[in-house]
Formats: sequence, structure tokens, C-alpha cells
Amino acid sequence: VRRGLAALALATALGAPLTAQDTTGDQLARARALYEQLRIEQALPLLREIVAPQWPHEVSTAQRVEAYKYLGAALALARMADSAVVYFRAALERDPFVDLDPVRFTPDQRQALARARRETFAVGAQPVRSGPVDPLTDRVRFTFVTTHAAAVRAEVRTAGGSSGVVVYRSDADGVNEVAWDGLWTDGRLAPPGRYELHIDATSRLRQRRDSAHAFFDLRHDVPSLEDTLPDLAPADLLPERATGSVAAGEIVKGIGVAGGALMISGLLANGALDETRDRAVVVAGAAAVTGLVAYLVRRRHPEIPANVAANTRRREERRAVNEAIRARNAQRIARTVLIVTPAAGIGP
Amino acid sequence: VTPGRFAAVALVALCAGRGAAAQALTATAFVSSAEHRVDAGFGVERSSGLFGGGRLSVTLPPRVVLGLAATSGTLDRDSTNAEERRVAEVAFDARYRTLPWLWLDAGVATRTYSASIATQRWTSLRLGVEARIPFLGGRVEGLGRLLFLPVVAVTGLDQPDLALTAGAGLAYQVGPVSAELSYVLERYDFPTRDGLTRAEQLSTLTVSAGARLFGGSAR
Repeated sequence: VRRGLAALALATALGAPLTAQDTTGDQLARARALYEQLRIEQALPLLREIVAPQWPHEVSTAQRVEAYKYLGAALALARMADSAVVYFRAALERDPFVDLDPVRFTPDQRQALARARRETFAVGAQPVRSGPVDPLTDRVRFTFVTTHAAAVRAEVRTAGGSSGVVVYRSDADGVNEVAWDGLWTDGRLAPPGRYELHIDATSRLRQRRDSAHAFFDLRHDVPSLEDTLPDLAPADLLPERATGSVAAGEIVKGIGVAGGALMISGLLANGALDETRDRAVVVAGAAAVTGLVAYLVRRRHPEIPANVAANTRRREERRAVNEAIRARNAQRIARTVLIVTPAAGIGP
Repeated sequence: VTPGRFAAVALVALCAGRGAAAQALTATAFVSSAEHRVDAGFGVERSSGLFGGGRLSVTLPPRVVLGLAATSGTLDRDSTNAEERRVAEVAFDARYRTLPWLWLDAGVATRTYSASIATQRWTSLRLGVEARIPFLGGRVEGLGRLLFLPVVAVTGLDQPDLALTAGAGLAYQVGPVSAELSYVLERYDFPTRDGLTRAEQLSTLTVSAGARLFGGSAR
């Protein structure tokens, strides 16, 4: 028996919050059922209990709005229009999207709600619809509502930011849809991050202002990009100026050609024919002078035009390759899809 | 068909067979100071003179150059035992670049020495290499050339035991115009016959000037 009592106590303790939530929902369901059966006198106390401060159970905003809405509807049926308007206003202040289905509610009830709308000023924004958006063919769509005619300015901002992209600036009355192309102030796709749809509205009927927010996260679904090639390092380039050893090498070459001419006339010639070396000396002298001149030119003009041209060509080829990569990347980025998900709060 | 005619026909066929846009045609004129020495066992006969001629070459990018050259001149007696002769030669050569500075060279040449008493024809096949060492980034090149002549047919003489051509020089290039100064030695050592050994040598100092008539680089 003790074990049974302990288990019952534990089950009661664990189940208490659920019971409390269910209690509000159950009571609201019972009230709606009574309302549907036109047992208004029995429905009203149940609904009033839910919105009363003494109600011991947790009440969500949606449940409270539902309770106020059915209170307004019930009182309108009871021909208590002023009271109905009061409850409808209470519902609208908490949820400006409150509406009455013309199939299920009478014209008097809807008339009372319309009056409540005129007497109350509120603006609301629905949570952003989740899903992919191709900026080339689609738009990010937001839905907002004003309870009556108002001047509205809607702006997409970074979360916590003070300015952004204006997506709507006009008069509005009732439910409206706004489309955003996903472009940021610089004309490019908005970078990934948390954003806020910020709506400011000024009533055209009353000296009232109201604002609403809807936060959402934006991500980019981008095909993988290619990396551009790094700039050419000095090791990748030819020397553009001749060093002292290169200049000295010109003399060595001249001496080499001169020696070659003399060697041909000396070593390769048939000694028995007593070859004269006059012709070889002419070439040897010209080669030696050419080597000396080349040395002096190198010292005075150390630039190596062929290497400069080759390096320029290499840089140009590298630049062209990177331009092609950037072009391909740009094409891929142009195919970026925005992934939109609703969010709460400000921080990511 | 003589080797010279064959070479001319081959050069013309190659020029006609390939797109002109890919080729470079270069014409060169040259003049040579030549000295000829020969010892047939009776002392060295010396003669010298001036040769002149021209050469047409076709560059087939990126590595091949074909050339056809014609030379003529006279050799005057420098020694009493020598004879005056007229010299004429037609040569065809093909060069293939294996490295930026090294070419393989192959060619055929036919040369005639015409004297009052007889005409002697020399026909030879030449194989060898030519190195072109650039100065000043290529505006000037130092030349070194060594060719062996494995086949030499000479009227009335045996095939030489040793036949070679060696040369050294400088080539200057300014745009489409080129100039060259070179020293070339031809050496022929013939086998001993009837106790006599024949050695023959021709050395030339040549100045040439060329111009690229159309196409790309003349080299």
C-alpha cells in the first residue's frame, strides 16, 4: 500500500505541470463546445475564468487570445456589443491577426470585431516562412497586419542593427505580404546571419504608433568554389636584372668563341699543311671584342628584356587563369540559394 | 639526279607543302676569303681567292631549318706548283634544334674544282652539331660548329680517312636583319696510295648578311 501511495504521489508530482497546461486547454475546449451549442451563459464563465488573474494555471498567449476572441463572439451573440468590442480589442492587442471566419461567425460578430479594429491600433508580423529561396526566381516573403489604415515602413535589418533594406513604405490596412529579393544595401546577396523584419506603423485614424518584429536566420547554399592561384613568388620568376657574374659570363663566352676559332686553326688543322691562322684571328678578335662590349653593356644595362617579357607573360597567364576562376565562381555564386528559417530573439 | 638538284627540289616542295604563315624564309648573301692547301706528296700547293654566294633557308617552327646554298669563286695560285681553279658548290642542309642552343646538322654538298686541264667533283654527306651561345640575351650569338663527313666521293681519289668541317663565329641579329662572321676549316686526309699521302684543306673567312623575307624569327 505504501509503495502504491508513493508511486501515486510521484506520478502526481511529475504530471502536475502537464495537468495545469491541459487544464487551460481543456477548459477552453469545453467553452468552445458550449459556445458551438449556443450555450452562451455556460460558456462565458469558463472563458472569463481563463483570462482572470486568479486563474491558477498557465495560459499561453494563443490560449488567452482565443479566450478573448470567444468572449467577444459570445457577448456579440448576446447582443452586448460594447462588451464584445472590449474583449475583441484585448484579443487584437495581443494578436493583430485575429479574425472571424465568415462561415462560422455572424455579421454582428464580425461587425463588432471591425469596430474593435478601428478602436485599437496594433501591427503584427507573422514568423517568416521557413525554406529555400532562389533569389533569381523567388523572393523571401513576409506577412504583416495592421488593425486599421496606417502608414507602414517595413525594413529588413541585421539583428540588433538600426538600419537596413526598406522593403515596404506605403499605406496598409489589414493583412499584407511583402517580398524581399534577398539583396543587401550594397546590391549583393545579404550575407548569412540573423536578421529582423522591423515594421513601424502609424495609425491614420488615431494618434497611435506601433511596431512589430520577426526574426529569421539566413544561410547561403552555395556550390563549392575554386580557389584562385596565389601570386607568383620570386622563385617562380626569372631574374630580371643580370648579376655581376652574368656580365662576367659575357666575357667568358667571347673568350670561348675566340679560343674555339684559334683551336680550329691550330689543333684541328693538318700540321703538315702549315695552315695560316690569319682568318681565325679575325674571328677570335671579333669574338673577344664582342664579349667585352657585351660585358660593358650588361654592366650599364643589367635588365634582361627576355626575362622581363617572360615574367610579364607568366604574370599575365596567372592573371588570366585567376580571372577565369573568378568568373566561374561568380557563376556559382549567382546560383546561391538562400535558406530562411524563423528565429526568436536577437542573438544568433 | 645530282644531290644539288635533289636538294633544290626538296626545298621547293617543302616550301610549297606547308602553310606560309608558319614559316620564315630568310635570304642570305655572303662573301668569303678562301685559302686552299693541298699536299699530294710533292709539297704544299697554296691558292686563295674570293667566293661569293647566297643561301635560302626556311624555318619550320619550332625546331627545323632547311637551307639551300650556292657558292662560286676562284682560287688563284699562291705557290708556283698550284693551279688556278674555279670553284662552284651547291649544298643542302637540314638542322634540327635539340636544345635552345644546340642544333643537329645534316647535309649534302657537291662541289667542283675546274682547272684548265680537268674538273674534279666532290660530293659529300655531312653530319654534326652546331652550338649557338647567346650574348646579351640573344641579340648576338657565338657559333661553334663541328661536322664529320662520313661519305666523300672525289673524282679520281679514294674516300678520305678523315674528313671534317669545323667553324667558329659570331651572328648578330637586329629585327629581321642578321649578319654573321665565321671562320671555317675543311680538312681531308686521304689514305696513302703508292707511297704518297694526300692532305687537303680549305679555310674560309666569311661575312654574310641576311634578311627575313617573311614569317617569324629567322633563326
